[in-house]
Amino acid sequence: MEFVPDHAEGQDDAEAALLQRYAAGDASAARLLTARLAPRLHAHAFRVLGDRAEAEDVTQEAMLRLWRQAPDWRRGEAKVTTWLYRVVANLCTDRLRRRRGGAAGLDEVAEPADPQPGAAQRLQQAARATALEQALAQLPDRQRQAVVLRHIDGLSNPEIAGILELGLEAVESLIARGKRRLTAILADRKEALGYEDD
Amino acid sequence: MKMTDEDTELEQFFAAARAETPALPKALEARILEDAAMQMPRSRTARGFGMLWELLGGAIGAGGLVTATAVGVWLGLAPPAALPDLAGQFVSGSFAETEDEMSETEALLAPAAFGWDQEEI
Repeated sequence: MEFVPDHAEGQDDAEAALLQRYAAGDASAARLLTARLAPRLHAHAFRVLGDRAEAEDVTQEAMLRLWRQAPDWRRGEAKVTTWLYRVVANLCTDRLRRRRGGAAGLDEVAEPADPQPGAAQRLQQAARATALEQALAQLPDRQRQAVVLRHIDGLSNPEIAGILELGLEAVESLIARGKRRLTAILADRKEALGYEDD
Repeated sequence: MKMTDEDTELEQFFAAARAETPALPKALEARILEDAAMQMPRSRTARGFGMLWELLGGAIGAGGLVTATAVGVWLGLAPPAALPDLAGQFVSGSFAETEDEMSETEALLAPAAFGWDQEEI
């Protein structure tokens, strides 16, 4: 099953309109923009960085830059989501570079949420999500960003090319290599986690 | 494009990750909205007033303007002895005086002092 992106062109227009309202002094527009955009940015940053505190800092910084940009925002020149994801991608890249040489990795990946009584399916879903987070952490930074943007955040390849400032072919190559690597990593863990039940 | 078994399998992991999306922490949401309030561009009216305020030179400029206005009003109502009491003359109706009654200062300030009554050749 292919994941269908939930942010069509019209929705981005709505976000640009909200940004204009914010720039005109409408505080309710800021609340709506935060509700629509911040959770996605935060989730993306967390998946790329694997660290809650850093993901929060990156999300706040990206939104702060959006507020500052609002008075000068020109509709039609860039999509709000693409612009924001680019900011988040760059902030994540900076932090990953700074972190290089450190022991970032599996220990920082969050534990799955406590299972509800009798929720076997939820337990397996949480185990899969955790396994994927751990596998993603082993990918090179750009591969990880591209795969997360495409298959979890649901962006199109041209959008990802704009965000990562790469050509379309380079994006396709990053995603293909990333997925091959993920498949290999996860195959090693199949038996231990019992994915083969369904 | 047809999905391979590997793609299908991997997609189950992606679907699980999407379902497990971490919620936006309330404290972070509050910080973001606080930033939004701090960065909120001022309304057009406020911006217009701000522009006027800046044009007047801010607090220092406006303070000087108020002082100058107050001094002007004071001089008009209670002028020093060396200056003609124009406001008093206007109120008492004695504004139109003959040239003989002009004080020395008034005579100095009269147009003749500047040569404006010279006949043009």
